[in-house]
Amino acid sequence: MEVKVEQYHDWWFDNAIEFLGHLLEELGVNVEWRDGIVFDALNDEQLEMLVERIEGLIEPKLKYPRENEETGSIEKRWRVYLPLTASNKHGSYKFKYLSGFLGKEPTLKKRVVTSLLSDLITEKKKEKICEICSRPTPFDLEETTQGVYPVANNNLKSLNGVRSMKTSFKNCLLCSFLGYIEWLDNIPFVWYMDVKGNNKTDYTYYLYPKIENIQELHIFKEMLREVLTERKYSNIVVMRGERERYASEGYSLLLSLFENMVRNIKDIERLEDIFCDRWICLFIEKGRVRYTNLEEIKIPNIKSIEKIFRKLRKPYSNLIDKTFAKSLKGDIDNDLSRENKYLMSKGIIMDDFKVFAKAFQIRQNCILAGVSKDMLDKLIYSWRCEE
Amino acid sequence: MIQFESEEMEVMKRSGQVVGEVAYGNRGENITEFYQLDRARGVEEFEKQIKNIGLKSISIGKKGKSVYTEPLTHLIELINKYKKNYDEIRDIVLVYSTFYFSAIKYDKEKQSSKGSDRNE
Repeated sequence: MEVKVEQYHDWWFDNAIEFLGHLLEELGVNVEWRDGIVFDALNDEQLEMLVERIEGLIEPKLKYPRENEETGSIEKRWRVYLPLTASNKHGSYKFKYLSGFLGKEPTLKKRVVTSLLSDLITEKKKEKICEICSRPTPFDLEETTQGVYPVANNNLKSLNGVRSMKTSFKNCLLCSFLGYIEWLDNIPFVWYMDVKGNNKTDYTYYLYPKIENIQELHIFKEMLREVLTERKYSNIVVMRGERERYASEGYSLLLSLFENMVRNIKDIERLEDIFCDRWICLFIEKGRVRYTNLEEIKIPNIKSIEKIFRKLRKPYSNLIDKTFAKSLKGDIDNDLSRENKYLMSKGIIMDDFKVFAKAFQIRQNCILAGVSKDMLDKLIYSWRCEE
Repeated sequence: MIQFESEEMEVMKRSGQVVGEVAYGNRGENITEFYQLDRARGVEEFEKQIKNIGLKSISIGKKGKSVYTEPLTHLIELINKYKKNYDEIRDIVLVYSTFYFSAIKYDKEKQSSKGSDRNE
């Protein structure tokens, strides 16, 4: 019997389906990519292996190493900025900290996976309609949480605007399963924390490729997975000498990702082929609740970026990352430095010279410094000059 | 967005250098020139500001530093050529002028710190 997981035409769930297909391919299952994924129903051994694989990914993806200040030993800590904290943390299971599917014990995980991906069809009637995928389901519906869909505001009154009017969405088992496993996917991210314990500067950006055709999405993401290297603060590392540097917001992250792709992927004929032009930038701010919002980045002119990359090779690490905002008295302003990097990266990506030039304006008595003349010349000539 | 010819780019780059030098003056005293150039609304105002910078260079010259302002005359020609898109020229000139201002300032600071080291 064939199992088909249909495409949602949504950035989050399409990426999740692609990730499920990727996991199944890793287990040796033959997956067909047509308007979703189609594969032969999994047998008991394959189901066991899938659960094991998911269990194995939880720790490397959702924890980071941190040095204990007192003992000096390296501990693994949860990435608490993610909206995956369980309210009920009882029991002895090692991942009891996590909510939803991820926090379930392996036997329960296997039960979920079996009911969704194997040929054990339930006899129950499909009575209920899922409010996310609009498909009938024989299983009970559950409240949509931020773990299932990061921009859902269901369980948080404070995110509903009018507190007395709580929205209520319910989702099926499949949506819940897909939503939770997507957190284990290899997606470019950066975790920015300026001052320890300061909620205002503790935030994360995730970049999801938005490609309608799921097969193309799969090819692109397989390429992406080779480029990313997992570190504590990000999986896109820009090296300056021996120091590791990270971007501090979405556009810089995208530009440094392109730079890493150009550097690591061999045999590139046209950069246009490896640059995806539509991205969803998910922003998560850590506070008492995890505030999330989305921005769609649609690159208007890939050719312009291609031209710049051909001339400069590393526009982010050799030009933008080296700049800083210096006050006329001589102090360095970190906030403005970050804003300038954002303006320059956004200008290059959106092919908007006006935004780029704004970084060079004198603001708050600060001026942009650290610009390399050679790089600036190359950039402006390749961007604004006829060939 | 206009794609300029390389000679035109050269004119804007050199003009940016002149604006940066004039704005720095002898000790960074003419920084308001930047703000006014940036705030110019309309091509006439922008042209007027460029001319002001040309005049300012003469007053700097009297105090000891001479600035070669010929690129500004070519810039005026360029502005007249692209009257409708003068703001694109302004942006490029501003980018270069900020760069040169910052470079001159950094250079002077370096020189003065070396001088003070020697005195110590």
